[in-house]
Amino acid sequence: MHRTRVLLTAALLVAGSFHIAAAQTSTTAPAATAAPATTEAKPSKMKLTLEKLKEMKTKWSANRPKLKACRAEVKSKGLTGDDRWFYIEDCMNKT
Amino acid sequence: MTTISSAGTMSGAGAGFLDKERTIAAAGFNRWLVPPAALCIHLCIGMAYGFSVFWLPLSRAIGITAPKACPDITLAQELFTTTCDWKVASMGWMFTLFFVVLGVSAAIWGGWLERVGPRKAGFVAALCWCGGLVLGAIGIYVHQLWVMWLGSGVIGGIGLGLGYISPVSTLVKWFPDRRGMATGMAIMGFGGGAMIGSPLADWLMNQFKTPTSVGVWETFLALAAGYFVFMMIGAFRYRLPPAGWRPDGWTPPSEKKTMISEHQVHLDDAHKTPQFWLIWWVLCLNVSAGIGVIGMASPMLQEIFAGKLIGLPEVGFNALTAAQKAQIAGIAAGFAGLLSLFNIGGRFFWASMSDIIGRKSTYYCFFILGIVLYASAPTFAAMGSKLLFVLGFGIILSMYGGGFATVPAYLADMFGTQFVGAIHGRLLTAWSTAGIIGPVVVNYIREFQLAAGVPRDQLYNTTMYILCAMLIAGLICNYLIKPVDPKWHMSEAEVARLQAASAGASAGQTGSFGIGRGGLDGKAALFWLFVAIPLAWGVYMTLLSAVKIL
Repeated sequence: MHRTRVLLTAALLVAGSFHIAAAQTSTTAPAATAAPATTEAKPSKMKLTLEKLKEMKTKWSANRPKLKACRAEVKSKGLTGDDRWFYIEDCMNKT
Repeated sequence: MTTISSAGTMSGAGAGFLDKERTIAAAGFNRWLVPPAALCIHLCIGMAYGFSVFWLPLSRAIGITAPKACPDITLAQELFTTTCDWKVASMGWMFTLFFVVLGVSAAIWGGWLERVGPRKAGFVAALCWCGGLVLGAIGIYVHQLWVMWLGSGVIGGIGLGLGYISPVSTLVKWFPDRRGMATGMAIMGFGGGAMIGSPLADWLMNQFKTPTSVGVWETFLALAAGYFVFMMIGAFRYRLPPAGWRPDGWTPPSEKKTMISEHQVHLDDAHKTPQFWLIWWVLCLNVSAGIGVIGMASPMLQEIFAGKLIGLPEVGFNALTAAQKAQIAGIAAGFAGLLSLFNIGGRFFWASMSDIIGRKSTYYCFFILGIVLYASAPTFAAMGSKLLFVLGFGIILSMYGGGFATVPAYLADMFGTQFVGAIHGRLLTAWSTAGIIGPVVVNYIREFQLAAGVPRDQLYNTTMYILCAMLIAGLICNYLIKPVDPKWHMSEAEVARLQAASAGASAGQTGSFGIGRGGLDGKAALFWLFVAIPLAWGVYMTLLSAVKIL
């Protein structure tokens, strides 16, 4: 039991140190990336409300045929791994 | 100290050269010769992870310079076609076959392994794995996908299952004082097999390539021959300790203070206990989340870091040219190689650590640290810190590997060592299940989100949080694991009867029987070098590819 406690404390400390490292890096990040960094995939906050969920469900229902078609394309092209990953995304973004 | 100098020499007479009786160690044997024997087997079967090296050449086996594609061909037609090249996706089914058959065969033949001993199991594993490769070569030569699936996938998969579990109970019995470290070393070999096999296969294909052949079937045959020799050496170097063997000066830890049971649970009863199923879920959830994150790591690196990887920090992923995308794909492949180093390092590190902090605490570490790291990964990426991103994923992968390597010792602690190989075999169905759950969850969740209009910058977050939920479930399962109810323990008479039936039994006595604790003497050092040199070469080749990320 004592060992478990010690271990849990150690795990939390490691986790904490990661967050401290992350915090330190993030304070320096804006200066380093003051140049026009335009990487598209940057996590932001998204609040999940009931309304948002309903909206997502509607969009999902509407886009299901498109997703099915994209999956069929992936299958016919025999894509796997990263190729499948990126292809599906590009395919779904097509108008 | 009890010493019976004849232990292990008395019962071999008259037995077949593969029989268990012939594998009982005699006085003076060095137990440190057993882990390299296990590595001989695991380094060979571990090539299963590296089979993707064949997909690209095989996808143009008929066209030679370019794939001869038949766009409308179905999978069923592909199995029998002799005129169209196979799609990479169809060949990818080989991985599913490997890991499903591995789990199923380990579960089915684990009990047989405990009866016949590790040598016969290792021998049969070599026949199946190498025979499967030969049949696979024939399948490639006659261009019949079904033959390759049957040979390498099914028959080879049986070899994987038998080979994987063949050293487990032997190592646990030899190293009661360090059972985590001992099984960790063997299972590390399974992770390292592809590091040797992939560059070797690549080199062989280049040697065998001709204007009329991509060189794959010839490579399959060459690998089968090499692996057969290596696996035979491993199988014939396996030794079992005499029943009741203990290292000199070692006393079993108190059952009351640790979760290490001194009792044995019969194979037929193990799966009736909640502990078996809780450990099953612990492994399944840890591996599912790990496989999920492996699938995401490379595209996440490419998409989020994009131009930064090639010195163009202002260029986003979509703005990259095809050549630049190919360049970052190469860097991502190096990243995958680096992760595989963390994977095999974790197998040894965490399994050895579990000998000190206990198995349950080790899994607590995996789950708690895992939850924090999985949840932080998108943030690390968004901060643009390659170091934190790579380190975070590296630790995650080390815990994925550590989960595999620690589980045999966890089982031995719970159910005793008598049937641990067979019980481990049954537990490997959790791996097969995870092999299906992990990729499906990640792909479907991502595609569901794409269809639901989730912004692209949120796609990774949500998937990571769902993987975190798996880890939370695993954490709860681990918390619920308590020592096995004594009603499942075998009676002393039953254990004695079982041990008396096996060779090398010493009438209920315990001791080192003149075997001692062993150490790295000349013979052991040579055997270790024999397995360490190819492994070091594989690690070096992986590092060469991994440095591209710097």
